[in-house]
Amino acid sequence: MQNIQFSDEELVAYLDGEDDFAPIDAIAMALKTDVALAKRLERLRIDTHAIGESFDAIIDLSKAAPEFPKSQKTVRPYRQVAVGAVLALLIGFLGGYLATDKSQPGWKDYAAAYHALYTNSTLNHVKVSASFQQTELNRVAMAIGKDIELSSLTRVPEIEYKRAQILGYKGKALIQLAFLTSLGEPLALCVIRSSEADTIDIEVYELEGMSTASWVKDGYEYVLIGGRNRTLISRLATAFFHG
Amino acid sequence: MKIWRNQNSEHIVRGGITKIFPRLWRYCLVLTSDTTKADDLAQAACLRALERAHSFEAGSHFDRWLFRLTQRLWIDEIRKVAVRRGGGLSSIEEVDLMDLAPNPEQQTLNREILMGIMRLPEAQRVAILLVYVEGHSYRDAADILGIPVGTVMSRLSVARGKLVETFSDRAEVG
Repeated sequence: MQNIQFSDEELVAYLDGEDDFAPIDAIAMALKTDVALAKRLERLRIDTHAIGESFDAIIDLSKAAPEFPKSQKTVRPYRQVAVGAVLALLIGFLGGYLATDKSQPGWKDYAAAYHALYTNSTLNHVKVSASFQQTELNRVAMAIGKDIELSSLTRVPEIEYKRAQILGYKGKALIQLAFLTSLGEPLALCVIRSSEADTIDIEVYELEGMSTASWVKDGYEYVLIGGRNRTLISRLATAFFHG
Repeated sequence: MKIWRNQNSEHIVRGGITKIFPRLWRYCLVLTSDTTKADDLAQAACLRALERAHSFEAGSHFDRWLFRLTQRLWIDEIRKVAVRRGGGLSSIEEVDLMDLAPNPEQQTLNREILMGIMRLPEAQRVAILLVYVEGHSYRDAADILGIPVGTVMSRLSVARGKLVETFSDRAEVG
């Protein structure tokens, strides 16, 4: 029996009790007389229980699952449509009530506060290839379940697209697409999934002292923010809206 | 009937995500070696799972389905970007694993074991997680990773050899 050669893979499978992938009986028999084999086996033995305990500790570091919006594509049976309509009315009333409560900052306020920290230097150094930008865009856009072509960002005149990143608001993903204007001012287009109805017009106003435009279209809410030129923001927002 | 099936699948997937999200995040951490990237990957995986909820068969193993989907998302789409940006090969020192357990001694031991495993190549540490932490059989691990069983065995064997070497002076491991 001592002449039988077992691979390390077979010995590990033996230790793991994977009968289908190790000659269990042959190894057990050989171990009775083969000291060298027993030493090889010891060199592969680990405390899998301790590993399990260590990784269980990681669980405590994780966050709760984020909330994801309901699918927009699913066709609803009649009964659920009726229930949905009642809920929609309730949510509409509640949403309208909350929308008038300006004391509660929403995602736009946080996005604006974040963007207020941007300077020209935040973005000016970003010089990467178009293929890199598209790949980054794919990864980031995936967070909100949206396809965004790089060309839809680069063809907008007067601004240069720089980078994309994923942000979050109350567990909900939003993305920030950053630009520099021809004067070197940072602008950001933030996009988040929304169940709101499409807006007919683009709303232009001020947040954190910066010109801001927002609209809702096809299940997403958009905020374009940066600088103090309302005319420019309005013009760019229109280009994005129709882009 | 298809409508009901779609709704049922999405309902199951949503419930499944909520239930196993901590395990998913841990899997993402082992894949990415970075807590921020783990956040991003876990979130992207959940969204992908919801998009593909129709392909999940009720009654089958949700965790295997989600882990397989996450693995492919990481390999096919996200890791390329991370590596190209130079951020895909971050060392384990960057991972914040400071508060793992209330007991300082246990915390130190846990961290040393984790660091030892996280310093292994990605393919080996993922195999370790799936088999010895998640408790999957070789066959199931191979199915999740989309590789032959022999490759799983080879990765485990090499990983075990390295871990024993690393912890040769410790009685608890090796």
